Amino acid sequence: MSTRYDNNVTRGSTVELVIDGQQVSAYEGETIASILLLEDKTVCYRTRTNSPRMMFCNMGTCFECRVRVTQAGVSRWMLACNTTVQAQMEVDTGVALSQWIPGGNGDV
Amino acid sequence: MYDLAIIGAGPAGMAAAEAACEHGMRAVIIDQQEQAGGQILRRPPASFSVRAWLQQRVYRQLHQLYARFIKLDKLTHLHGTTVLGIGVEEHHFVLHINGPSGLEPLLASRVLVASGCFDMPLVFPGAQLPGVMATGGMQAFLKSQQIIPGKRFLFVGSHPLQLIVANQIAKAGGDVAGVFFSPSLSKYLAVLRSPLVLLRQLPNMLFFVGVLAQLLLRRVPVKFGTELVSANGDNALEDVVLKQDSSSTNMKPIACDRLGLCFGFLTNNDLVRQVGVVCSWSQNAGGWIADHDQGMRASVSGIYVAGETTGVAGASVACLEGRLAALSAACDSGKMEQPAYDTACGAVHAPLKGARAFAQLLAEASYPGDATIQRAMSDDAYLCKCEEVTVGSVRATLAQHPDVSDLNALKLLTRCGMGHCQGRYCHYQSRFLLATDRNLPVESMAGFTARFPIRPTSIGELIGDLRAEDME
Amino acid sequence: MTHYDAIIIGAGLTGAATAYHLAKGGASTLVLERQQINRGASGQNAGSLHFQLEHRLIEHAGELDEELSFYAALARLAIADWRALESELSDDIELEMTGGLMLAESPEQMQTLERKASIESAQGLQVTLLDRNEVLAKAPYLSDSICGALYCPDEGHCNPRLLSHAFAREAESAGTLFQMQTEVTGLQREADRWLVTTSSAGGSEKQTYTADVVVNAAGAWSAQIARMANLHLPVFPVGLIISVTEKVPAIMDHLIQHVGRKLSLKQVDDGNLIIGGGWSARLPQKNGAWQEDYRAILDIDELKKNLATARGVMPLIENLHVLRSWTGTTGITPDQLPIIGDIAQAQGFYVAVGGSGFTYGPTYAKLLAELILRGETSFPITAYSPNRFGHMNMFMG
Repeated sequence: MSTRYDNNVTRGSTVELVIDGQQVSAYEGETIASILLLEDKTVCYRTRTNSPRMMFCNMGTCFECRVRVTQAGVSRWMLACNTTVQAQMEVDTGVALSQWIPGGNGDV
Repeated sequence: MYDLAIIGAGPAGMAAAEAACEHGMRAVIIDQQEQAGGQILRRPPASFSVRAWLQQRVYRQLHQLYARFIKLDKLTHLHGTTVLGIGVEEHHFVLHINGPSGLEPLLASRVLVASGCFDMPLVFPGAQLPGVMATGGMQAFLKSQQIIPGKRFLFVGSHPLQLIVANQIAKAGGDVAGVFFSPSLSKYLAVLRSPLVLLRQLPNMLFFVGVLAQLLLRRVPVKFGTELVSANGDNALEDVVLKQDSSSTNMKPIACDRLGLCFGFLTNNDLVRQVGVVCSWSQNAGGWIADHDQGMRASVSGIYVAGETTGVAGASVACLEGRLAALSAACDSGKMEQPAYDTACGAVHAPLKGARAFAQLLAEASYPGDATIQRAMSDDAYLCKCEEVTVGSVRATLAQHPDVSDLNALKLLTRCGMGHCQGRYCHYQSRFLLATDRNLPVESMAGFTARFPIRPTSIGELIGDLRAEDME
Repeated sequence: MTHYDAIIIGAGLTGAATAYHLAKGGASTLVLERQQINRGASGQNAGSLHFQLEHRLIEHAGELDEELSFYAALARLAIADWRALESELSDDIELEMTGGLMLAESPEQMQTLERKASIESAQGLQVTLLDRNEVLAKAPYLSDSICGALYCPDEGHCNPRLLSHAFAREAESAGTLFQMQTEVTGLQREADRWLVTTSSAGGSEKQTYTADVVVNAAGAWSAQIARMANLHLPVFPVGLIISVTEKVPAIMDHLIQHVGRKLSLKQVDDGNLIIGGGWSARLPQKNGAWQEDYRAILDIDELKKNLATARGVMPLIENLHVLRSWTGTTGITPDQLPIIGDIAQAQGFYVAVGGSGFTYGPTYAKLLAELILRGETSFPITAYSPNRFGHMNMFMG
């Protein structure tokens, strides 16, 4: 379980989003990666052999933190570490991304 | 058309932008992140207010640079924008930038590439498990997002950065199971034997010693000569097995949910290689490093390089090189007279020499060593995590195909390097494996070809509004 | 000085497959390669098996009708060769012959397909004209802007990363020697044999070999090799673009082409989509001459057109990420037909280059080996003979 610092930090307003079907509250400016850690999610996506993967670099170079994000009815994968949470965003973790086609909203 | 396009808004890019503006250049700075500062100053979100953020002495000059940088009103800032490739025209460059408004060409007479570096991965069994992270990546969570990214942390590596991150976590209330260095203590102490270093870098040294003392006071074990054997767990990291250098038996598994790897850094050199800049290979300064002259001019006329692009050497070197590169660009474009240029460069060269000497000592001390890298690469480890290609399967392919003698050939046969990270996280160890197997010098081997786009990009983003029916 | 029955220059698909057939026929063979096996166009092309007549040929159909029907006959032979290949080679080559669709998006394009179908059917090539509904039933992943398609059940794809290696491995086990990192620097006819001089990478080691027969299988570099034997060979380098997307589930099992646009689109075993079709990359030049390594430069505008063409027929690819776009250099001939055979002015000098070198490569290699071993071929290839350009070598050789 990850935790927010409390000393010296004042966070702004909160944002409601949905992670794996659950309503989750985040602070404006937080990345999806942070929320996943705070929510104790231990997998971002799964590989073709169903192996779970999670963020490694946290700077947009390793591509291990891909998660499925649905906004306005369109699903695509995004890098959790480089994506700031937005209201009404739906994030799905543990999706076998190589078994799914971005753009639609369902699995094949 | 810009006089100078600066790629990367870290220390090198910010210093370059300042110098470019001083000399009246029409400059643009492009960075993938939403805020400038680079990884070292990875800032909290604008909506956060953090008191006493990064107040340690080592950050002081960077804060000052940042404060001056954000006031450069003649500079164009493009944040959240990635340069996917650079095209060379007769008298200018075309940068293919992908930002909030999609893929666009950006024209510039000169280009400075200061694209930084990323944490060096280690190939070992279990490296792909959720919970195994780059220590630099963990630090970014602390610095920017203000979270402690886990519960119980273990650090293994060869770079002293892990002391700082472990201490930050321990201070914030995280549980640190230990900080383990692969090299022996004597390797680090060797740095101290240089009087030049002791004299010039005393503040840096004292900073590290202070951090070490704080960790020990918090009863965090700090050990040397300890190697990584494996990370274990069913669906996420549960424990880590280490081994004392001198011993043939493994230590008792250490339970943790985060393993930080801190084996130094690799340069982000896809762009310079894609545009045809001559690079050399350096085992301990980040892999590919761009060749350059004294004024930071790369082998392609009009391309300049600074910071980690020229070898991992830290923020002090980056600032000085960035300034130097911009001065050269100003002089080459006639914005600065030769005598003024010579004087300005003179003021940079002296401190740069000292900073580079320290960086070189640090690089040598913090390089894990060929043997450590090699011992970790057991047959069941993934050489390429993206494509799930194991070390063993690559070795088998090499045995089957005696003609293979470069990395592109290896890639074509094994898919190693063909995934989403585009080979960034396997090129170093693949080169190592191939060189060892074929008994070839690691420095002279051709690498994976750097291709457009340097980050995976959707077809929709690449084509924008272009439709087949409009092309007739 | 070691003597061989044959020395093959170039270890691409043509070289490796010719070596395989020569070795099977009992000829002692040496393959000389400047780099490594499969590093040129053989390993960089999109791996399409397209037996329908290509876009570039259909465009000039009026003037080329005779050649077109000849091509269709050759296609039947190539189909049979490919069908036999998987059992012939011990390595997996990821061969899929699950059908190809050449799409039409306008009534005019449908007419072209009808004409094409009649030429191909007359030659015994199995093709079926499908209307819009039939196409979408077969390939629901395609856009509904499609008017129809010509379906060829034998089309498909094979992994170009693996094929040349598979031939090379068979050739090696039959005794062929592959000499890598070895550049040919001279070719000289002396009495009844060829003197082949080479230089190792870096130029440190020079060697001379002799052979009864020299096979020029240097692809885009064939003209330079011919020049060493004092011959003109009209082969011109062209740079092409190919892109690969990230992996997705198995969504398509056809090779997709377009009758009116440059396109090839397919999904490989690993799940990636490969997008190509003959869009140009720029060849570098200096002082008006091509740079000898022909390392083609990606042209972003051409790439965008290539991707937009693919998206036009298959909209769902819009959200797929391109992982890499690469360029490769292949050799084309003045009449777009391959050049296969021996050159009259230079006894024992054979060449095989050009003309859909991947789809037809295994067949060209087989026919060339027949010509070398027996002096005749099981399928007439005189139309492909280099001697159709014989006037170029009237004063050479």
